[in-house]
Amino acid sequence: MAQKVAVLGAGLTKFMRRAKETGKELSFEAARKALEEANMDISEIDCVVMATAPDMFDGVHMKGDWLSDGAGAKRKPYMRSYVGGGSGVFAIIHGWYLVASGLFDTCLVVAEEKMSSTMPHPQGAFNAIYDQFLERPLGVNLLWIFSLEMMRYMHVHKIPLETIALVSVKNKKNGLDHPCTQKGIAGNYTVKDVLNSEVIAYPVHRLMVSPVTDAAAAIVITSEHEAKRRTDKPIWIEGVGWCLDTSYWTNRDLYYPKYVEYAARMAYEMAGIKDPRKEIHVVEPYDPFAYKELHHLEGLLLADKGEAPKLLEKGFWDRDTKDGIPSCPSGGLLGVGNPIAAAGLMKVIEIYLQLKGEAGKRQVRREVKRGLAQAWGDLMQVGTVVILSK
Amino acid sequence: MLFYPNKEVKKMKFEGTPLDSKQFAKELKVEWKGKLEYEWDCGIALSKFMEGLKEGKILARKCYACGRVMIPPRMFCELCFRPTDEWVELKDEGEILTFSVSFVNWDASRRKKPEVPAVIKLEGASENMGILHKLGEVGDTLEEVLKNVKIGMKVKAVWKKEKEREGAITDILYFKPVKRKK
Amino acid sequence: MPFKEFIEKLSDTRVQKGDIPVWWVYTLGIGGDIFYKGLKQGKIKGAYCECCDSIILPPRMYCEDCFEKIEKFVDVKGPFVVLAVTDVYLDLDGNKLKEPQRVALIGTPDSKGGIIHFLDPDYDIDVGDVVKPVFNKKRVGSLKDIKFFTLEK
Repeated sequence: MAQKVAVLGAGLTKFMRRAKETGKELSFEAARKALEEANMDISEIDCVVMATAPDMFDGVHMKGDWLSDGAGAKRKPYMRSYVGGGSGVFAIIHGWYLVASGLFDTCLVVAEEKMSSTMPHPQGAFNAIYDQFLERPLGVNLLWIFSLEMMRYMHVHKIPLETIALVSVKNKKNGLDHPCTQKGIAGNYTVKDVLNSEVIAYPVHRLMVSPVTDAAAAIVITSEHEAKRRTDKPIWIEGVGWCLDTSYWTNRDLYYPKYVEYAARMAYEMAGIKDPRKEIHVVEPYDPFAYKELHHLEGLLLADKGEAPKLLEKGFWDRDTKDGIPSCPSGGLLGVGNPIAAAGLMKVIEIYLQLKGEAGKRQVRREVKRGLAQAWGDLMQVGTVVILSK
Repeated sequence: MLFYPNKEVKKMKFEGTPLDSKQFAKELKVEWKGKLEYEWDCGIALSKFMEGLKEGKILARKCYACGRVMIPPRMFCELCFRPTDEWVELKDEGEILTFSVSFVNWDASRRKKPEVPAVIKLEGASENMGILHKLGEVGDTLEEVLKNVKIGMKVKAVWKKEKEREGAITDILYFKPVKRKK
Repeated sequence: MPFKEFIEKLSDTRVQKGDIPVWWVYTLGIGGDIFYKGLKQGKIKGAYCECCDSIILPPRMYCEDCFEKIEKFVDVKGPFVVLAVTDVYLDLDGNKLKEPQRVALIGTPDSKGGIIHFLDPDYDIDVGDVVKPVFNKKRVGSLKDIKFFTLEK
């Protein structure tokens, strides 16, 4: 029988295009902040989980082991989670089952990414994600999978480009209120600004893409009796779910992410949720590209297929909505930054703060009791979902 | 508390030393370039597939259990989790499932003339069974490509000359639109 | 369950060649920056952790044992002692080097950790010997600003 697991503290570093700090130092800063907020010392942590995406970004082989001392894992049980961009939420799932099994009482979950070391551009390292026989010899580019998926999504549901641009407008505006946001990416843009920005790979425009970022994030999770001992307001992890689809991405109809649906169903069942649209009060879907937020909201079953864009136009996903479900109140990846693995954990931290009522200017207007954070990764493959409640 | 919304929040410092491109250039750094060169074995299915491309054929693999005709071909069906059964030759024509117009290279540098990647479902393969390739003869600017290319359009492969083929996916130069007979 | 078909002849196998053409430029971090700037000045710097009262070599901005931030950095004067030594005969691609290279882990008795560097090939230096760094006249802020460690007479 799984034990109840709570989130006690959270820490973030600034989100930067190029950090002076090494990956180890970034992990240390985030882990330190999380321990401070949870009022704990490193000696009280039983185990450590680190989420960090390709070794090729930092340029250090066995990166997970290299970062371990920066994450406070010297001579402790340590695991690394890695499912591309889904790692941020996958790490909290990892931490969850280490504590829920009863094996450990406390766990420090850290996510780090230092992408700026890769030259000529971190985008180049992503090319290795494609099949080396049938895809790479064509001279591939990371942006192709996103622009191809976006085109398919827009075609099947007849979504106009202006509606997708609204996601960038919403998230970049929300990002202005996040204290860690990367310099230069949040702002008050209009749909016209987004559509006038240069076309990178049609239909993707520059202001619809999240930037390259260095950052780290950390949270402390504990068992039920530890949480009740230390705080009056524990935030519980109610449900987790994860699912992986095939890497034959050209053999799937890309307009709908089935793997996100299956991960979401697993989490809803665990949390005992029968009607997600009524029982989830705030959501942080993964938004590396503007259309992805809508794509994932449908995959999470919070909107019917093709309906998420229409609801966006009506303001259903806005931060200050009273009847809708606020989506990406933090600003998401478009408004704060995209350090692959740490971005997912940043979203979990946002749900944690929203439930505690400590999100400052980003606090949503409606009452929240349950929130969901989702991350996505690999070659259109991974969906990882976590549900928190108070 | 970390983000508590009162005067305390001003004291909260978020760690990190951002560097802009000028500062980055002045910093002491260490550069490392490894030699990451590979020779991958194609395996059973793709070796035969590459052989087929050299002869101007596109080969797919069929699973009797689910009935799918799969391309790229594979020796095991990943849904039924059993070995696949038969080679099937596909036509080198198909329809566009999705496409894009790209103005960046792999290293994020800008291109003047766009590339048009597309996912193409070949005739003879199962539903949604597409492959990634590029389109050609569709225009040199964004406006031209958007005018000439539509999802669902029929396309045909343009091959390299027989003696130039090596047995690789690049033996197909690109796919071009097929003019519909009225 | 075996596949329904196999490759019978070696000549039927195919190989796909390719490479991953990225390279890396690493920033040194707060700790590493202090170390390299020290090398440029002809000094070897270490970090001092007040919590566990120890000097850490090479310097870093956090102590991994105490998990506290380090703000004090000191000059490490020595004596430098060879902690471990090895002779390298092959290069990274497996080809034989013209002459074997002697590499050592060098630390001091009152600090934790050590740095890896070359030893003076003119002497037969072994574990336990006291050595001193020989700096180049022209220094740029790199690990190679130290030419090698030679025997302290």
